[in-house]
This record gives sequence, structure tokens and C-alpha cells, in this order.
Amino acid sequence: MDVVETNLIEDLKNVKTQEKAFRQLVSTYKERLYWHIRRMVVNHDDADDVLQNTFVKVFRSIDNFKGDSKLYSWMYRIATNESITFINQRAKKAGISSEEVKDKLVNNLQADVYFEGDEIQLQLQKAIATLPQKQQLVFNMKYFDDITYNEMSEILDTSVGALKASYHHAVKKIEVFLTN
Amino acid sequence: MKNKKLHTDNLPSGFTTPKDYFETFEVRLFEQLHTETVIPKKEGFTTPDTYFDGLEDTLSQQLFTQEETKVIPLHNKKNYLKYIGYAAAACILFLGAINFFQIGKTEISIDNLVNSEINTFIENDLIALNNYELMTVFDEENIDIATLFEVTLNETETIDYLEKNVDPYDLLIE
Repeated sequence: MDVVETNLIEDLKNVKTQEKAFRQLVSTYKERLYWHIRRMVVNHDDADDVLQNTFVKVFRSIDNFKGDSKLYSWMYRIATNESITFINQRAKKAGISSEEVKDKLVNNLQADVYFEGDEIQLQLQKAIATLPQKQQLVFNMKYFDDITYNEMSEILDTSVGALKASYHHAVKKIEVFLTN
Repeated sequence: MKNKKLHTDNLPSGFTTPKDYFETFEVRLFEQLHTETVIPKKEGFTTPDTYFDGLEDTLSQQLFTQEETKVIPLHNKKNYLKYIGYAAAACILFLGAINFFQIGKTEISIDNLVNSEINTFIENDLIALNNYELMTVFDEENIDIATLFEVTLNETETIDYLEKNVDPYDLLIE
């Protein structure tokens, strides 16, 4: 962990400096976390809710952050868990699987004000929705966020080898879906 | 000063590569390029204008704005006294309710009276019953006369009594 990050964490834990530090934290990481969340929950309003919940949780749990990983990895993990929880809660409420929830969200994309993709981009989202939840995560993080396998391993608590295999399979499935 | 030419050939750097790294490099590179031609790198998602600009303010308001809230102390002497009063009133009502329902159910029977009180009642002629009425209460078959009188009769006293109180003529007629 670098000096800047260490100082930020200390300021977040200090009552006198925490508000300013929190604003800095949000400013630094909001867009990266937002897009990660958005890819999972698809809808902008839902992504906004999950993003806010993520930052609130980060702030309230900052005393529990031990510094054994990078701050961003820790926040990314919280964002991932909050997104999964959101999907799973919606699935439970509707009495369907989380994959079916994602499917429904993607099917609503065409009418979504905050989706300006073309046909191939819409098909891409449908293709991603066919993947198991974890495989979707791996693909999005590697392909769109350019997160390294080592960082991903830290965030998802999965071995690098398993992540590489998962990504490879995800790519193949999506390519087949898009080319058929 | 002579320029010393460093021989970099065959100098071990200490770094290594995975097996067949260079042999498979081109295959992997072209695979990646192919993937990016088939799968778009942009997804088409957008956000409302100025969405990210206002996020710090929105979140700071959630976490750092303190609203005035009514503080209800958990430990308050007045509250304790109040609760004790409530408990006492509840106990009184409960006992009263039990007592109320018990009165209607209590039947006073002759068994409740102490024998000494009955004896006193009879000896002082407070009982309204005469001997005949008393006898009708008892089943004659169950009464053993001998058990009623524990006094044993003296022969001399008996003869004296008969001579004084009984007319022999009356005995003959019976």
C-alpha cells in the first residue's frame, strides 16, 4: 500500500478529517466502481443505489480494513458483493433464479433511456447474461476493466489458473453467441 | 578513458518465462485481436448528465448531516418509578380479580364449622330444633343406643330410681 493510500485511510478513520477524506475517496473511485456495478445490474437507477450502498459500507467498515490488500481491491470486493446481493434479493422476491433476473434486466435494455448501444452491443449483453454469475464477473473485469488476474484473484478469492480458464470459456461462449 | 563495451549476450538476468511462451505468443495475440473484432469493447451504457458531479454531495449528506432527533434516555429514574407503579397496579388488579372470582365459587358448608361452635350453639338452646326433629335427622338403624350413653348403670341406684319414679301398676298394664 502506498503512502497516499495509507494517509487516506488514516484520514477516513479520524473524525476530524473523515468527511474531506470521504469526498476524496468518492471522487477517486466513483466511476470505476459505478461501471463495474452497472455491468452487473444493467439498469442505471439500480447501479446508483448499489454504488451508494457500497460507499456507505466502505465508510462504515473502514475500521475493519486491515491493509492486507489494496484499498481499491477491498472496495471492489464490497461493490461486487453488494451487486450480487442486489440481484439475489430481487431473484428471491420474484421467485426466480439470479440468471433469470439478469435476463429480464437485459430484455428491458432496448427501452432503457440510459442505453444507447447498437444491435451488436445489445446482443453482447444478452450473451453475457447467459453465463454463470461468476463467469460474467470474470469476463467483465478482464475484458472491460482490464483488471489483472492477480488483482482479480485477490478480489474474487479465486486462483489465477481458475480465473484464466473461466475467462477463456466465457470468451468462447460469447463469440459463439454473437456469430450465430 | 576507454569505453568499455558491455557484452550483453548470454548474460543471465535471472528472469524466466512460462514454458512455450514465445512459441505460443503469436497464437495468443491473434486470438486476442480476433476476440476484440467479434466482441465490442464499448457496451452502450450511459448515465444522466452530471450524475457523477453530484455524487460526493449526495453521499456526504447521507453520512455527515446530523438531524436533531429527540433523545430518549434509556436509564431514567423517573421511568423506573413509573414502571414500578405500573407493576404494583397490575398486581393489585390481578389479585382483586382472583378474589372476585373466588367469592362466587365458595360454598359454605356445615363442614366449615368447628364442632365446638356447634356444641355451644346447642347447649345454649340456640338451635331451633326439638328432640323429635333431631331424631328424624338420624337413621335409627345406624344408631347404637349404647354408644350414645357412656355412663354405666349402678344397680343400687337403678332400684332406688325405680322405687321412687315408677308406679308398679303402670308396669303391669304395659
